[in-house]
Amino acid sequence: MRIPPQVSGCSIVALGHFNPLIFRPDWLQDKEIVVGSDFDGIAIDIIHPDIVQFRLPWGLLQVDRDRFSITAMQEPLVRACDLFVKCFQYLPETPIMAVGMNREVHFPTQDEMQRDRVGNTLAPTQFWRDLVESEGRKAGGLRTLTMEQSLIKEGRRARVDGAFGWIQVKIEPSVNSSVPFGIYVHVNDHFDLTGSSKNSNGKIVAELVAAKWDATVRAAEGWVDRVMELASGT
Amino acid sequence: MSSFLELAAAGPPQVDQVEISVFGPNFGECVVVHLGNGHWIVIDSCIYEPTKEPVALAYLRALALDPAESIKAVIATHWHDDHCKGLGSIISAAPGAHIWIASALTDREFLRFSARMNKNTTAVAGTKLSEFDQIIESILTRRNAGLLTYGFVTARMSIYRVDASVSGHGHSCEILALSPSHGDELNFRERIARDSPQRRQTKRSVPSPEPNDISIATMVSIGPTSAILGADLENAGSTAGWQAVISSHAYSPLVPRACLYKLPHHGSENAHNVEVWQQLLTPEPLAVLTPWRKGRGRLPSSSGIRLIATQTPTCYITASDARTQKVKRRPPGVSLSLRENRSIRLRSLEAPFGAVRFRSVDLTNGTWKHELFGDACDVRKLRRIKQVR
Amino acid sequence: MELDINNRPAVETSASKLGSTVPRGARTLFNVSRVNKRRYEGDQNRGVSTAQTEGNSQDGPGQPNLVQDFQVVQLPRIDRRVSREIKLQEWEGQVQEVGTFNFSARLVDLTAGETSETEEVDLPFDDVAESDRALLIPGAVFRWIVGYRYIDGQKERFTRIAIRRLPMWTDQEILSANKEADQRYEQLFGVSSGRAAAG
Repeated sequence: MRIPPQVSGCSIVALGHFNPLIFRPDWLQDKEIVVGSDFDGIAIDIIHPDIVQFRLPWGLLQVDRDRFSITAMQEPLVRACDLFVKCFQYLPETPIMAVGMNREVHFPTQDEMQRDRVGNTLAPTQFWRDLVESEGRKAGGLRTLTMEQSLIKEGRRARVDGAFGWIQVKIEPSVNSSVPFGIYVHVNDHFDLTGSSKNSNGKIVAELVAAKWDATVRAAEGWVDRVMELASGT
Repeated sequence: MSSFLELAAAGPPQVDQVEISVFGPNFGECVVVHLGNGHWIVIDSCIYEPTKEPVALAYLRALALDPAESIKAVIATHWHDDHCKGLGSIISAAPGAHIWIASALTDREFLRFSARMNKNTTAVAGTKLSEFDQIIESILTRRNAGLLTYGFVTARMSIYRVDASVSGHGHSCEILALSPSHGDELNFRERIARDSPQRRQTKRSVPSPEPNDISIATMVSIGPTSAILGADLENAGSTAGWQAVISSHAYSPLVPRACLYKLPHHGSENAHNVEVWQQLLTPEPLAVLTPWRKGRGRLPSSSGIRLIATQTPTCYITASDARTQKVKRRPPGVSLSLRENRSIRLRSLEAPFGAVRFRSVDLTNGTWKHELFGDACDVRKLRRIKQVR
Repeated sequence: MELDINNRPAVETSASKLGSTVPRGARTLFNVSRVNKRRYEGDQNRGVSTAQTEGNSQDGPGQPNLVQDFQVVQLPRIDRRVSREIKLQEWEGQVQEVGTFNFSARLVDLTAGETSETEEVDLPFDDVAESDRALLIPGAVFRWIVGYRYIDGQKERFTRIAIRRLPMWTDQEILSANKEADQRYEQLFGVSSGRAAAG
């Protein structure tokens, strides 16, 4: 990415049926999924049969009955993938119906003009003039834009690679005050595993994420970079 | 060595001229042999960084030779990507060349080891086995096409022969494998069984192949003279390594004695065998080696050089041990961070590159002309270095 | 509200971790059925999102506050805000040798988009957390990051070594590898149709 993001993270979210109490720090340590300084730095928010949430030095793990989420907010982000894959290698029978890999960045631009260039290119103000302009002055602009890759296959949304699901790219002005004239980009790479002939489970999802992670992050950063190119004009 | 133009300036060898050229290092080494009359043999491979192509192909093309027609045999003495980059490309460029690999690499256990290692696609770092995969695929393609232009090597197997009537110089030629012996293969199988990934084990990359138990050392005989190309063969007890070669020689002499010796395993002390010098080589033969580096370690070591010097006054090395000065351009913040912490030493793996070429002058007397290219030099000019192993 | 292809409401289960705040009072702990209904309905005809965004996607650099929706006793919160960082360079390394004061590794320059090792480095043990040093064995894979971070408004350079916990070789992978290898072996040494049978 041509502009180093100032806030950056990624997450993997799985939807299914979970027993949150399994994902305790001691279980993760016992399975050598979280060890060393990562384990030492765990801060527990809650351990409850319906929800477990604790912070790692680099991110956050949240599990409730139907959702598992691991977020990395500190580099290297691949730790989220490693933790996710290893967890579900140990829990291969967990029913999981969908998994998504998310990449989010806030990156700065030099000034309002650069930032507005992105919005004006993606949603030309000419078309919305009577909405976003008043008396010749700017009175609004792009608030949020989501682009999605999906085809219809067997009555469901499917991706170009043939898997069910979609890829969404969302762009917004950043509301993070520490990122000057910031732009926020969020890529959601979603796999819908419902309705497949084989019941989808932890084993399948672990393999899927392990196989797709690098390409997903690379593609996501490619789209981010494309937005950055709009901003920088280079 | 800015290009192969320097090497090619003298043109290809004469029809009746034998040539042995040693290239390296750069993730491996490469030996290119001309037996006469356009019979070229390639042993191992490394990459010429400026063009990113295998050295053997770059060299032959610089000599205006077509690799597809010139290369008659390709011998792979390594299975680890670190040591044979580009071998797959050479085989593709020379589909008519006979492929030779160690027999132990076709064991079911090693094939399983390789296939299991290939399942580790998570980590980017770490060596792969992509060259070995390519070689096996090439062999399978040929087998399926009914082309038996491949072979699996064990000690004392004849790899390639040129009859005197077609050699160009009137002498018959033969490349004979000196290893791997039965003892080498047993050692190899034991190590692979130990290192093979198991269920529920955390993934890791391909372990170091050292020592290279299934290294193929060869003897290149050309009529009344010969050369020994030591590959990576080391001393490994009485039934393996160089001792197995000497034992075999006692029963069935390896003749004629070699007047040219490509030192095994980068001139390491572990590969130095006095009996090899005394029984298989002429007194004070021409010697050549390629350097090796791993971390701060370098081969040949100062003691290794001293041992070589006790056996021959004439030894060349394809590259000095000078570290490459090439540093990648990085953002100032990165460079500053690296400089501020003096304990951090970052180095390029790219090594200075060179070649030593021997061309026969008189095969009957065993006289050769040598030429040094690129960073190649006399081994005595190396700075003294510490041995790692 | 987003509609799926059948014009039925699609359930969104996304929440951004880079500052999203799930609306307070959206759910209570004991309103489980309402939680399940909102979060995920498992109906293949509905679009179900795993995006981390629900409603407004980003509300500053704070941490998500899901716990407050569950009215249970909360442990004292330790402020664990991850410092804002700018990554300048990332390598993946494999440990080659471990010495007394440092270790050496071969590196792949990920920032340059490379996929093979082109550099090597000696790194001091002091740069590795004490509890991580036992993980530094030959063959261990790590990521090495160099960048800037902001702590209390101050910008400073940092380097970080994070050892990766790679996945395991699974039963499936071992079996699949064995099958591939055995197929290769059979192809190499299988009975040739051109050979006469013994005897």
